[in-house]
Amino acid sequence: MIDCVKECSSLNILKERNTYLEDINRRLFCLLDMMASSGDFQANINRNRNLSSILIATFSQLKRLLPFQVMAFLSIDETDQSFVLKECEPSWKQRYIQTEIDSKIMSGEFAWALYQNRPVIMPAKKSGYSVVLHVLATQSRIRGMFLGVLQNKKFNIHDPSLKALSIILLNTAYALETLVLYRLLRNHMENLEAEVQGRTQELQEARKRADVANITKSRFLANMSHEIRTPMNGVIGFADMLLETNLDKEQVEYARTIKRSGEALLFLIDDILDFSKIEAGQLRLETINFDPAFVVDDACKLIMPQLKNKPVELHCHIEEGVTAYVQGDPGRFREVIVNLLGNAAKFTDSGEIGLLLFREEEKKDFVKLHVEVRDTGIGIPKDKLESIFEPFHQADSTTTRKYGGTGLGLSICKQLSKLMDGDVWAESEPGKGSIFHFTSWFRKVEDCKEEKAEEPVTLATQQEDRYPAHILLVEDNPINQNLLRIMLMKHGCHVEVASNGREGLKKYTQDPNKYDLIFMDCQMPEMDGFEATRLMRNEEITIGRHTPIIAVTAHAMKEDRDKCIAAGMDDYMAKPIKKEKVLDLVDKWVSRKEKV
Amino acid sequence: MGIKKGESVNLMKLAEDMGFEENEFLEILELFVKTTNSYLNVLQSALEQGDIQKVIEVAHSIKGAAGSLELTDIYNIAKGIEMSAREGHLDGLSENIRLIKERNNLVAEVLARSDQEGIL
Repeated sequence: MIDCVKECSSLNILKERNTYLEDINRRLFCLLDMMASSGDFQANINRNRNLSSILIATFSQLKRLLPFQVMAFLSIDETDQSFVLKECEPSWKQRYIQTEIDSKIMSGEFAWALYQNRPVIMPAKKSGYSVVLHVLATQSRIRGMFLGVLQNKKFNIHDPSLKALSIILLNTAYALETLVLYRLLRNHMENLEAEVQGRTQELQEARKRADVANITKSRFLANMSHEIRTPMNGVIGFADMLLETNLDKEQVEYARTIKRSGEALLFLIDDILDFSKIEAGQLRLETINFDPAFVVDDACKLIMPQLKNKPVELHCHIEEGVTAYVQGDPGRFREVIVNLLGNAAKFTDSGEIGLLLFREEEKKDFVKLHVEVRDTGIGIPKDKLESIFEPFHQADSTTTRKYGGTGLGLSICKQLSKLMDGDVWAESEPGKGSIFHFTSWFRKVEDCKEEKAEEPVTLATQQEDRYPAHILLVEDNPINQNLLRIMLMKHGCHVEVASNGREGLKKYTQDPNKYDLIFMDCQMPEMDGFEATRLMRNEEITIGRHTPIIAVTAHAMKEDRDKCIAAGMDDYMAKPIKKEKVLDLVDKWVSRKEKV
Repeated sequence: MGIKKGESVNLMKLAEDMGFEENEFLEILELFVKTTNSYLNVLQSALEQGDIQKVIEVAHSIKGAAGSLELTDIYNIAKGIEMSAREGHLDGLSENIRLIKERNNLVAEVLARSDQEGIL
């Protein structure tokens, strides 16, 4: 009997132990399950960028651990620092859970739990249930409170499970913090972006205004050309007249200075106008056939007078084979070369200046020409080699005082070279000299139709052996007609007059070999000078004789000159009509050869 | 240079500058006075008919002639007419025509005087 009782009690003990072990086993199983899934959980809550998905993940993880009936999360309201219910699972238990929360807050247990960095378990308001409170806190601050409800008969306090609970909620707390910080950062970035956008827009508008102002300014300058040049021509012209009166030595010197200064000023004005035109985008390149070698030669001749008082030699070398015709803008090509040569002449006191023209590259239809201008001048410091091509820059400010100039020349060269798909750059050794390079692309002309007289320009002939040139004067304005006619007649020329392009063309075609030179007004009724010139040039192809045509126009811009050249005119005379200009042109274009 | 009363000396200098003999220059000036007068008549009727193109054309011619002879006043007034017409405005241009006429008469006066006095 006693044995039986003993056996019974040991059996009970065994049973009890068995139940206990089974329970432990189950819990450990849960823990294992939870830990196995903790990797996924971590990734999940850290990847998620919204509060409720983090909470849902947390709740499901907690459920692996303990059989919660209801779970809830409370966050801290930013404005009054109170706790508000954010998420509840199942959500329909919201009202119930709120009563539990309220009772815990009222009892002070809630506040107490806030400062326990572990799960706090206490009886629920609803009998037979317990409440687990656990603060969600990172090292820096409290992020919220977890509240779970368990049925008493379904759970036992078990330390490892509670530890695991803490670990999960700590992770959640950090995930929540990350979320808050991320949102804060994103807000900042958005604000920053909006701010940057606002600023950018402001800047764009300011830039647009500046651009418009700049273009307006450039246009104004470009259009002012005539207005500026007219009074300057007056100053120079009257200084000239003054020089022809009876002056003493001192007065002559003063008058000459006025004239020289006027001419220098006119030169600067041209530079500035050119630059403005480029800036205003009004500059367009011509596409006419020309011989680059001829242009280079011409540029050298133009620069010669600047060297006549210095011990400087000028060499011009043109590589063989370059003398093919190309299509482009000879005026602008020449302008760049003259500018580079002019600089070389300006900054070289003794020694030599060398110009080399060669083909750098050749493609099927295009050729890249390279012009090299070498001097033995003062040179340019290495750190200035690039800035000299910026507008209004010279190697140093004393240069302007000593050598003059606007500081625009090289900038214009650079821009012109870019328009010709090339470049301008320099190398230099201070004290020894500089080398300037100028490259440009041109279309090759296979079957060349000459657009310019082949015979070289003959320089002024002597008065006494002037041959009576036959000149056709095409001009509609009777006053200008008479002015030119009388000037030319006094110079010993035979003059015939036509009052418009059509009449001029008629006179020309009647006897194309008769005229040595044609003066052509550009603006005329019926047929203008450009049209008449084009038609005359067409005639020439069959005749085989080139008659120089000089444009007479009211406009002083280089573009007008280019327009004349494009129409096939050889030279250009800006109004007002001046005897000197007229006679110079006659001497220039009526060659000696024809006299024989 | 604007021509004013008693400024015939300037005319002489102008003639010299242009390389003309006195009589040649007088001839050209006379031609100028005549053509300008006929131009002004054409201009006036073009203005009355509102023929903008014609106004531009004729004003341009007067401008060109005056410019060559350095008759700056006439040049400037004619230029004003041309520019105004190019912008499509013809109002008030009769006044400009009157001004040119006035100055043209001045030139004629100088010419007449020099004819009598032989200043040039």
